Amino acid sequence: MAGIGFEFRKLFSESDSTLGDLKAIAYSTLISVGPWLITTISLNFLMHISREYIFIRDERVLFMSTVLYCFIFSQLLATPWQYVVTRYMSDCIYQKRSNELRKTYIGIIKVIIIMAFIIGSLFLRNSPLPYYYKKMAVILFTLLSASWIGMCFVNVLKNYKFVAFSYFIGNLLAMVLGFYLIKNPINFPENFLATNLIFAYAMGILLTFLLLSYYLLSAFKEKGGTEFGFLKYLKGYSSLFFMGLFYILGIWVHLFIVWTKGDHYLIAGTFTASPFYEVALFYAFFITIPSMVYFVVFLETKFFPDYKTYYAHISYKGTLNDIDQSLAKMIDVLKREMFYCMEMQFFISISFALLSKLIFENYGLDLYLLDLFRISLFSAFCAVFISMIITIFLYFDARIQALMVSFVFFITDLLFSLYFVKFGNEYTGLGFFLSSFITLLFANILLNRLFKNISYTTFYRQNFKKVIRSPLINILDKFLSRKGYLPLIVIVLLSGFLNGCSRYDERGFNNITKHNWHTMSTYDFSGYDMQGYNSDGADKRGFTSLGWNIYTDSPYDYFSFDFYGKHSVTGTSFDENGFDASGYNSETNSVYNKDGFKRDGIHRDTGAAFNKDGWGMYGINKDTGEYYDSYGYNIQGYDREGYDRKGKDAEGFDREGWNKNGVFKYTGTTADYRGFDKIGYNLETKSKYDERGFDFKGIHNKTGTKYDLLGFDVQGINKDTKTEYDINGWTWYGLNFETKAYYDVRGYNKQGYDNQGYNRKGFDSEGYNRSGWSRKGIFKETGTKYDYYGFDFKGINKETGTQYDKYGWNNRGVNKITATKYDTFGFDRNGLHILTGTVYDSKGYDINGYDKDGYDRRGYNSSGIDRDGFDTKGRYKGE
Amino acid sequence: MAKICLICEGSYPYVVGGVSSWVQDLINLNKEHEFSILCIIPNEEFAVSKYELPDNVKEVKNITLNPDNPVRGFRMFRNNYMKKEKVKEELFNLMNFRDTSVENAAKLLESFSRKKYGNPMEVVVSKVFWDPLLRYYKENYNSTNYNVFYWTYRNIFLNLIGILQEKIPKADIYHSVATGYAGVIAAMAGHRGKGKVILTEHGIYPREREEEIVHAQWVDKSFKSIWIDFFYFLSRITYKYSDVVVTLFDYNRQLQIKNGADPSKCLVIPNGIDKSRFGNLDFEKRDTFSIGAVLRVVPIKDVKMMIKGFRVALRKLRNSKLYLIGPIDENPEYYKECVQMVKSLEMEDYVEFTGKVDVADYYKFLDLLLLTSISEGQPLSILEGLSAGIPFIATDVGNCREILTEKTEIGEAGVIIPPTSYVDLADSLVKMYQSRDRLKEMGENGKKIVEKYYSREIFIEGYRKIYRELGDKQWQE
Repeated sequence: MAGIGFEFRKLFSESDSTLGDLKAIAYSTLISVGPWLITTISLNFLMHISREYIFIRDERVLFMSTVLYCFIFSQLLATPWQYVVTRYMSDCIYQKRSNELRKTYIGIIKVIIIMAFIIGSLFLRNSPLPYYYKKMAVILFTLLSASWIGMCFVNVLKNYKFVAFSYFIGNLLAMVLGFYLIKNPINFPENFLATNLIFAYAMGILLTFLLLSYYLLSAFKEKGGTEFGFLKYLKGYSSLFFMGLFYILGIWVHLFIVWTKGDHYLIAGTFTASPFYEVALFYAFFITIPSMVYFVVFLETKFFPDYKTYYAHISYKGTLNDIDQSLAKMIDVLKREMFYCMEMQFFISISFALLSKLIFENYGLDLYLLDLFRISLFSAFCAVFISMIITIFLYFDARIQALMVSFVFFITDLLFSLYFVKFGNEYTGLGFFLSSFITLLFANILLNRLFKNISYTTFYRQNFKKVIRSPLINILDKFLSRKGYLPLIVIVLLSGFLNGCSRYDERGFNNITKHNWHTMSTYDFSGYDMQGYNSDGADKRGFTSLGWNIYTDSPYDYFSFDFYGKHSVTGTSFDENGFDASGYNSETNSVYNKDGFKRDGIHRDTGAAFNKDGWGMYGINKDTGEYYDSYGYNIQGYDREGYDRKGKDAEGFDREGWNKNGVFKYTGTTADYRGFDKIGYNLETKSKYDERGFDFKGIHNKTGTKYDLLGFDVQGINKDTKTEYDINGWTWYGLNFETKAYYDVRGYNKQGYDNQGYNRKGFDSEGYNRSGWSRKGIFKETGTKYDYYGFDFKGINKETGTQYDKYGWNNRGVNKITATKYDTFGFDRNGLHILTGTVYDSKGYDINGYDKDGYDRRGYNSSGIDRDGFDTKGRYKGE
Repeated sequence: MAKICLICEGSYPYVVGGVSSWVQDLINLNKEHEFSILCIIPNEEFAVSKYELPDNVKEVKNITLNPDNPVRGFRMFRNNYMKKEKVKEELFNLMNFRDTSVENAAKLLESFSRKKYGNPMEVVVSKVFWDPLLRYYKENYNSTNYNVFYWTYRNIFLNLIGILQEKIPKADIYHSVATGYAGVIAAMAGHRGKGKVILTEHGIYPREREEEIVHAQWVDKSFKSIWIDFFYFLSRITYKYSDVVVTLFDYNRQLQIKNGADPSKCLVIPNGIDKSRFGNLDFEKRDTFSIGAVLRVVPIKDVKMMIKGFRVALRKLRNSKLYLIGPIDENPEYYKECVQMVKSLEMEDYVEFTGKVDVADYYKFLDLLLLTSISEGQPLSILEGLSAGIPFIATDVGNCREILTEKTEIGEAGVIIPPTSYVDLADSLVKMYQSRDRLKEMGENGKKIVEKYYSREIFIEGYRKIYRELGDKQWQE
């Protein structure tokens, strides 16, 4: 195998013209990311023609989702194996055991195909998708998984050109076949356009896979070794397996989390999709192509020669000086080129981040998508460089470091995505970015540390011969290598997948051929196939396998049940009449409801849409065509007001609202709203009249008419205005028309009093003014001609005959001496002190000059005795 | 009664030869002591016993080289990340085997044997080993291939630490039959106070290794001195910690002293021959001139030189035949080459490989014995041959000259020729063939020499005394 690096160097060194440079760049692009690019183009082509020809949007989305799932999960399945098998191959080649490669390739392909087939089948087992579509998807998934392995094998042989070639040919076939089939489709029972496209694509991948396999099998002619010897490496090199698994999980787990917890929806009951995020990710990774190309080219042309020199020095003939120098040169080249690659990619990515706004605005795309795209751009940037550093780790057999990096990538991606998905759509993609950024830093630290110790590590490793002992796998290998087991396994798998052996079910269908015993076709007498779909792809209820009802052209059938049997109105699996989607009534446990009608309205006894009394299922009368018969009664025997022929409603209340027990319908007691019982006795006033004076029939006891003295009837309607308000704007209970309160705009109520009880002239209803005096000079609260202080209404004191009482206070409480409300000691008329607010001043004496023990300022009490019992003259008076 | 642990390297009881016979005799003649045997062997397949073990051997323990130990992560972490500057400095000093101080080295080796830095693999793959190695390389070997340098030191230390960490049988006396790995085990046991240490050297170990290494293809030229210095270092440390250093003859004793042994500890106890075994054989002399060589067919015996010498002399020897008596299976390749040589020199009728036989049957009729070794100590085959009354032509190696020609008061018992010189061998053969009287006289002399200097009684008494004294000392301590 000619080293690809040589061709690169030739191309890049000989090209002294722009055209030559372009040729070199195109060539390196083709062989480094060629397969990916070609796949992208052909998928876009298929997507484009599907837009032209498939009118049902769901079917297009279904096709896209299926392909996406196949790609992601085939990568998840194949990548861990790729690393293990690559290692095994390299060891075989290095140890001159190349004769084992043929069997190894056959072995791994068997393992992958069986695993992919089982996983795909299990995944789609409970999916409502049509049979052929499911089979086609499983085949595509299996072939894709196998083709990754084939590609990996050819890559180890460094024949990138052939890889690109086989992907080109395969995808070309997929496009041509897709284009042909969409115009001349194979008539699959359902979703036949999507099924055709998947078929076309699967055929393309099959061709790719066959080309790769043909190349490999003709390259490896010798048939030595065992088919499953590589399984041993699962034990000794499990780190490689898990490294691959964690890395690929790290790449996708954030999408899985958005699928399950973020903004997503379910397609055909099978695939979860978050189209915005998927599109953003796709273009973000697309933009990292330049760095991928550059990496491959630099690895082959610049890094690999230095790498070989270093290992030649270390393993064969170098002095330590040679070793150190070649190491320094290698690290220098690696760092310089990686840094250059990062710089270039960063420039490209940042340009796209800036330009994207213009593009998005120009095309009127969703700005939410713009944010997603921008952040994904940098996530992809980091993720691509993580993969490069992992590749470099593997060059130095630093498997633990590679595993650590990929594990950190996976776990941070998982945790950050789980954390940020809680904050809503604006944070989608942030988790992936943080994770890939942190992991890139971590990987860089590990890389630097690796180089510090690389010579030591290399010598260290030389001390150990890797011996993998695994008796179990040897036994497994022996067992699996026996000829003839494969058909056996396939048969077991197939029979498990199809639930049992070939037999006819109760409808007459053979479960293998799907042919009907009675009609000798794939449809039974009623025109439905084994899955229960007719030639239009609809089942008995009119649903396609995607859940669209072709009769109603809506997601619901005539009975408003959706595909899954959920009723659109009740939200349960039963409609209002208790029927489920198949017409079975849950109340009677039969196909008839309690009135004897089936769901379609046919009556059990008459066999027509009306029962023997002429009523239909929903209560329509045969004669009138309405819910009421010619007598005005409905199916239940009630008239339009709800009363039966005896004048009672369904609950036994008569038209007045009374039942036979004397209970009023609307209050639930024996009294009606106004307190009257059934025979007209008022239970509140204990008389024939209510508190307003109306009797049971609304006749007022004073006026003998329907109106009370103020002209309001029992309903509160005014005789003159015919409204609730009288001509002054008051209701019978005093509510004002304008203010909707019990006072009018001037603050007076219906009786003319304000809220303190005084009328416009200042007198209350008893004739006292605001000061408490009547017109006759009587004080309201004492009931005499004098107030509490003994003043009459003119202010003359009863005892002194002057304006002041004997303490010097006038009727307004003003002190004669001070002309204020306080006396010379600061006490007011009621004996409260101005400063303390109590009956004592600050020194403890009251208005009369006594303290609380009854002694005055000199120390004597009112009897003239001091605290020790002596009088003013010093004579002892106490005991 | 003392418990004695004999430490052998690649010899008893798995290899037939002088040293192994000596060990077998030593055990048999010291029935009052209990012996355990510690064998250092290259691999487990090597351990096929060629001797019937005497009753007083209580235990045989094998130590293989190139241990394969699992490396534990926590130990690697400790060795690589905890400060180990002191041990790195000590290791750096030890790497210079020529100049390192024996006391410091013993201290360091003792800490290794206690597994202070883990098992041998954990030491040599850790930075405790890597850092001083890098430094030593930079200061001394900067322009050589680093990979080979690394593996040279890595293997030396892996094996050295490996054998030191092996559990050794409990004993009062550790008796090593050579320096080298066996010697260092005994020395470290003595250093740790486990018992007294005796060293008996038949040949001079580092000299033998030196010869091997100088000619070896598998050792890189730049690094031969490392190996040679290493083996001399092993001798130095063994001498240092041995209580008694025994050798078979005085020349070797002088070499030991030159290599660092304390003269006051150095004794000479020659091999002893039971004269009753071959002394009273009934001779059945034949008409032919019968020449014999009792040997293992291995390169160190230089059988090819013997065949070539015989071929040159054959023209003048009438009616003569060469019997090569001894095992041929130890180095089958070399044996094949010898057979091929005999064939191409058209000597099939004159040379016979007997294989392993009873030598007594041949001593009965042999007229002359040959010894053409490149290296020898005090060859038992010479002593045995002499005790049977047969003269020798021997190369000038080991103690041969002294035995055959330097016991002047009795007279010569044979002829000494330079090693590897087949022309001299041929000359001597012809001379001996032509003077039968001299041949007979030499035979008589030989018998007397063995009786006087190399009797079984001297040998037994020598070791009995050492065992008794050291055993007593050990118990007193």
